[in-house]
Amino acid sequence: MSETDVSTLIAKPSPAEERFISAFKTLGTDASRLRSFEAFAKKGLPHRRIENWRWSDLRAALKTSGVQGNSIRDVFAEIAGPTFTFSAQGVKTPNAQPEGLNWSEELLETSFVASEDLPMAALTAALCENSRVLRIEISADQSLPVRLVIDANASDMFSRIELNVREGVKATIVESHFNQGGFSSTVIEYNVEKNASVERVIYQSANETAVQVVTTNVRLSGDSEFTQSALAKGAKLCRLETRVDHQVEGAKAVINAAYLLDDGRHVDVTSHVRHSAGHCETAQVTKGAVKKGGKGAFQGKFYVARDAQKTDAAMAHNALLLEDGAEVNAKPELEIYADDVQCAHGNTAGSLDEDALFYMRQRGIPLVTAKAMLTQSFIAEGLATISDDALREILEEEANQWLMTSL
Amino acid sequence: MLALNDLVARVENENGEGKEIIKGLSLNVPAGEVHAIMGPNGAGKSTLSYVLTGRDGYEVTSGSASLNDEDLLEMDPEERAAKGLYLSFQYPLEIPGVPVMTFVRTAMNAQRKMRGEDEISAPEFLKKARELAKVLKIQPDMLKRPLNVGFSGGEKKRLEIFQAMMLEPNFLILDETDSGLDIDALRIVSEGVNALRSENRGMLVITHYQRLLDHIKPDKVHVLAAGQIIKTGGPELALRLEKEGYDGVLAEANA
Repeated sequence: MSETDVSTLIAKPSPAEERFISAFKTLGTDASRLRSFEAFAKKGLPHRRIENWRWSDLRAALKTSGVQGNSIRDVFAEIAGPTFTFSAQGVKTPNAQPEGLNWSEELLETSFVASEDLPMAALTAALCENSRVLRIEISADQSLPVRLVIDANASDMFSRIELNVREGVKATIVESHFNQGGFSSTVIEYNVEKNASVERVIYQSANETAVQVVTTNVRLSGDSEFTQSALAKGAKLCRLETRVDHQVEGAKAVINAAYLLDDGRHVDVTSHVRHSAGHCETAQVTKGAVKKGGKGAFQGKFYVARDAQKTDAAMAHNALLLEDGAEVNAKPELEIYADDVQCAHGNTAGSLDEDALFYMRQRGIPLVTAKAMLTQSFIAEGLATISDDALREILEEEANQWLMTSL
Repeated sequence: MLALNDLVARVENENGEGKEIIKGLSLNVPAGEVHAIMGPNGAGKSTLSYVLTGRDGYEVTSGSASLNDEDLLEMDPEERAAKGLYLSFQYPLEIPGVPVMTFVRTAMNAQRKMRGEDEISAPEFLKKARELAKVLKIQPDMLKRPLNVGFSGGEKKRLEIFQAMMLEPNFLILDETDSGLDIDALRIVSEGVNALRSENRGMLVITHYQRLLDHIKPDKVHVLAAGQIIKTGGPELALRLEKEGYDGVLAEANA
């Protein structure tokens, strides 16, 4: 395909899309990139009339270009462990290489196939520079967490990471997703082999002009375990999308999150869990607390295939509207084709219990502290499954700091 | 100590409409005394406790209320608490995710901070909590559980008294503390309240029934009806009410 053809793939491109087209041209047109770009181009940047993006209008959010803001404080900075940092400069890899941890700065051809279902993953596959591609292989238990830091500035930044956790191996992956004010899209693939166990802990924080998309694809083999817990503080627009596929019997997934949103912040916690094989479990709890002017969205879907008997899957999203003018939208969905399964979903939105607040104040606890305590306990469940005490306490403390200064 | 003078207060409903419930109430409880307030349903007993502790939606339109000569009505609920005003709730609230110990310690240190005092040390706090839990027959593991979550009615009331003994307020309002208590729990709770009696502390015991007053002997008994104190007497007044009901006293007041 010639350059002129690429330019015509998107009808009436927006300024951001024009930026993507010219970026694509500079990268050279290998077949895989072209396929990905075509997949993206079919619908272009997702917007609110695309069902799966109705509460996250990326096209509108990218109308203005990035503004450089302050750097973001990494709450995990003190956590020791091999660290991979993605930034405008490319990938910085660890100085020392622990046993059982290998990496290369290229992906295999068999890697993630971009699809129209995941337009931002497709765009990322098309535009990710070779300097921000990383393939990690963990083939022995790691005593320290492996850290991924994705730190974008005001320029567009695309990153691709593939993590392969080999059979029977236990690993903790700590991810920091930062954006100082531009547009970033990150695609992460987790391949969790038989009997392997992965704990994934995520902290997301961005400046208020940032537009941030993190798309994760998780493949679970037999009897593997994957436990994900995220604390998200949102951005101008932030989409954290997680896709999990239970491919072989006996896999267990936990996908939890807590989000805390100030005025002008948005977060969209989207997940799609596919039970392809039977006898697998999914437990999902998402908790949110939103102030006036904050916008939270939750989209959760469980898909249970015909053969996935004895699936056990439960989904809950509970949001706390801390003030008038806070907004939360939710769409929990179950699509079940097997007949012997346990699937449940629940969704609530409400405000703090006034009676409880008065009770606490009557005991001498100031209103702000009372609100913070109740909110903290409300969102705690979203972080409760983090088994590493130090990591959990860091996120709990970060949540508490936000509550004490924001309420 | 607690002085209410011609207090008039309205309660706002969900639609923001006010209804006058306290209609010119005057009352003095000197330090060291325990006064009981009895009255039929709807007399304004619980409203009085919320007005004094500053709950939102309870608006004082005239009159005054002071504790140790300080105007209560200008203060936020937490400031009133720091001044030593304590309400034992008729229906104590569940505080999910906040263990009893954390809750009480936060409350105690917040009060101390407002009073310009130092925080209590952890060992000192623990020692005091353990001793008082023993007195009130509260199992130690209960103190680690979220406050009142899943507790029985009796346990909740015992925890109210536990908190009072921990916080050592100057003035206690006990709102229907006997409701939901079996005989044993009533005795334990009453013993706790009696242990809190001191010459520096006043108490207002709001109750429907005489039986609590068998355990907590009041110095004075007031009958509250339609937002006013209509009769005041000694402990014998409570006995008379138990025997005759409120009708006789109400009729006398109206005569």
